[in-house]
Amino acid sequence: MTASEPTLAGADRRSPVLSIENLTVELAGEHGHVRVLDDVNFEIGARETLGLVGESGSGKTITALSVMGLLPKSARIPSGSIEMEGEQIVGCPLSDLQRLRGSRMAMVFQEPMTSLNPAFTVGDQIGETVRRHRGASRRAARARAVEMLDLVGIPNAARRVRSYPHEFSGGMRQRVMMAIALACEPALLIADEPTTALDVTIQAQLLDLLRDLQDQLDLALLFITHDLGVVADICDRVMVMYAGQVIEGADAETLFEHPEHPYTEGLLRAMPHIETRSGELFSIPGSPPAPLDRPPGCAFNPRCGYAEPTCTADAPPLRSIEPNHTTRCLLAEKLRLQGVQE
Amino acid sequence: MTNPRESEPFLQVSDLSVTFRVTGSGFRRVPLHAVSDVSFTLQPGETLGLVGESGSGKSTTGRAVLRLIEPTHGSVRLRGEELTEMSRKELRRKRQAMQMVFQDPYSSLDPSMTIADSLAEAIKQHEDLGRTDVRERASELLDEVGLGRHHLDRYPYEFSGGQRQRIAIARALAVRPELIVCDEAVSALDVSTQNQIIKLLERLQDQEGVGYLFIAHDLAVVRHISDRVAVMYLGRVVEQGPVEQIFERPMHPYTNVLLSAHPIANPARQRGRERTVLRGELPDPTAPPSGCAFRTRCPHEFEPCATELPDLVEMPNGSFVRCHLHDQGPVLGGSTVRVLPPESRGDRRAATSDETVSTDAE
Ligand SMILES: Nc1ncnc2c1ncn2[C@@H]1O[C@H](COP(=O)(O)OP(=O)(O)OP(=O)(O)O)[C@@H](O)[C@H]1O
Ligand SMILES: Nc1ncnc2c1ncn2[C@@H]1O[C@H](COP(=O)(O)OP(=O)(O)OP(=O)(O)O)[C@@H](O)[C@H]1O
Ligand SMILES: [Mg+2]
Ligand SMILES: [Mg+2]
Repeated sequence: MTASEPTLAGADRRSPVLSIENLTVELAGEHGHVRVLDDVNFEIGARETLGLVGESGSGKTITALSVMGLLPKSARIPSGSIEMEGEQIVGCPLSDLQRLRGSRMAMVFQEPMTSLNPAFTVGDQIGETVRRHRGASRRAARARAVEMLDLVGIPNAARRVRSYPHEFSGGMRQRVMMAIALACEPALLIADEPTTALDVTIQAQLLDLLRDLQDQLDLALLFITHDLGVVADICDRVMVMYAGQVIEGADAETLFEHPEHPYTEGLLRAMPHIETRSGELFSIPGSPPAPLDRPPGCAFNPRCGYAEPTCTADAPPLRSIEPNHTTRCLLAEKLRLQGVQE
Repeated sequence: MTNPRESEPFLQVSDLSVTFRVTGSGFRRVPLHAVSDVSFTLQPGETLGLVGESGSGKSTTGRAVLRLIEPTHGSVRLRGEELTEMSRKELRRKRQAMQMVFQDPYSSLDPSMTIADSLAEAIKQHEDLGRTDVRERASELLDEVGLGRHHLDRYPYEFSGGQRQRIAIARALAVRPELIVCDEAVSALDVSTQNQIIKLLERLQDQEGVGYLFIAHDLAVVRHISDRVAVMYLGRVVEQGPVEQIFERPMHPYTNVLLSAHPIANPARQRGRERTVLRGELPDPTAPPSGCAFRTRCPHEFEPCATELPDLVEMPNGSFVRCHLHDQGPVLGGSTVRVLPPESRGDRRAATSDETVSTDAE
């Protein structure tokens, strides 16, 4: 791990639960392999929540799938290491992955319907992981399924375990995914957009549940979300991704108040506010580069209002600008970027 | 916005109800009233925001309006034509005018079709174009949703969640519909991309008068895009009205809870905040509480709430609300529930008539 990595007070620095170094991932496309992750580094300690935000298509889900060993078959990892509780995931045999998945690390997927099996009741699907990883009896697995459904706020859980996924609303399916993921009390939970279909009150309950579980189980949490309100609520540290790279990382408060990358500034500025109905919504002009058509230098430079000639020269590395605050912007010292107000 | 009594509205939904049969105790099938007596209108160029608790019937309402689910009861009229009585064939023709962007985009895209083919199929429903023109139009559409033409020949599984969501939007726009039901259609997008899509939707609305039924849990987005808003709880609309009234002067206790639970995107402020928690358990939709379904969690429950279902009553400010605080007493009679102290269970005299008058006079 490089010394420039942001650290967190309270997290156990000696043995992070998850540690990723120099991870690069390529996916096969029509015109050969395309780099979708480029030199990603981070770690998460026990009881720590790391938020992963960024542009749609920037590589957040691919990062998560790499950890779970669930990358598409067309993927290859030319370099990098992923250690889960000290065990190397990159290149490890499938049997090891299967042992880790569900018991030590679990993931809530972005689109629940694609990962729930429509042919089995939700109770069977929660119970299945408990039986497989814990050797629980059928009866104990059923009891655990009811307990978990109840915990994620599904009313009348004892009856609803017998429902099929299509009988649930979008937000209820998200909570079923959460119940499956948490059933075996993993050390690492990766949650990919787990609250997109939840109203704010149920969302708040779910975040409280995660905080409780963190205290009880020392859970390490990787939280992928576009909802900056949720990030503000639950994340200790935040990493921002753009075009396959981490472009900024800091503790949550610092990142919101003093962003050090123009993309982060743009993201914060684009946030719609509930207090007022703003006239025109802001969006960052342009769109992200096509993977085979990356601009020279900083990947964000064609869309950046602050870009200078140096920005198109060399690809900037992720560097420390302050203790526990990293950025890929070459001009960060010079710019005075706007964070959230108040 | 427009006066619903003026003329036949573009879309008129009356007393729409959907009941599912689900497994009950001992494997008996029991009814689940997913949507009960929902009514609203939509004018061309208008947006109705639909918000509410997870599982309250928003998606089911959207699907039933387009008859992707058969309504159990009620009427849906599009330009005066009754959709619920139409034959399948007529309906298929009408579908072109009405599109839905689904909450789960993966399941709505054909996995075996490239994006170009999928968009072409939709474009050809509306326009009679040659092959190269269709492809050109398809790449224009992709461009509009912020995806480059280099994506044209890829398959749905090769995209990120938010990219798929935008493909689903592009596909809905391809047939140039008059009505789009957007079910959490921008929820998988980063805020900058989200704003870009919202601006696109608004532009189409200005240019072509598209109407939107906009289902979302992000209240800031709903506030921005909607002309009117309906709030659902356990299958029923509990409050409905002009967007500014809903956000500035919520009348229903559930609306108020929703607004105050919205997280603030500022870690220092969000963490220092008093948390609003709803008391009580989420009710079981197959055995909803008697009277007002929200009463078991309401901080202001009083004696008629358990026995009588409140009517949806029109208020002086143009909102409709389903709550006894407004029709029994009269206590609140049209002023916002915010004049009540947060916990005033059983004490419906908390708001004096003076306060009622002063809030109304604003
Ligand atoms: N199976 C695949 N084959 C080829 N390319 C893929 C595949 N899955 C994802 N990609 C590409 O990899 C990039 C990163 O995708 P990823 O799903 O990680 O994005 P994301 O950050 O999760 O975005 P979102 O916020 O929209 O979910 C995208 O450009 C996407 O098009
Ligand atoms: N096909 C079905 N069979 C049985 N019950 C169903 C079916 N579809 C939905 N339901 C039930 O109907 C109710 C309303 O579901 P709906 O999907 O409309 O909610 P929603 O408001 O869209 O929620 P969310 O915000 O979580 O997406 C829920 O209790 C759900 O379990
Ligand atoms: Mg994703
Ligand atoms: Mg829904």
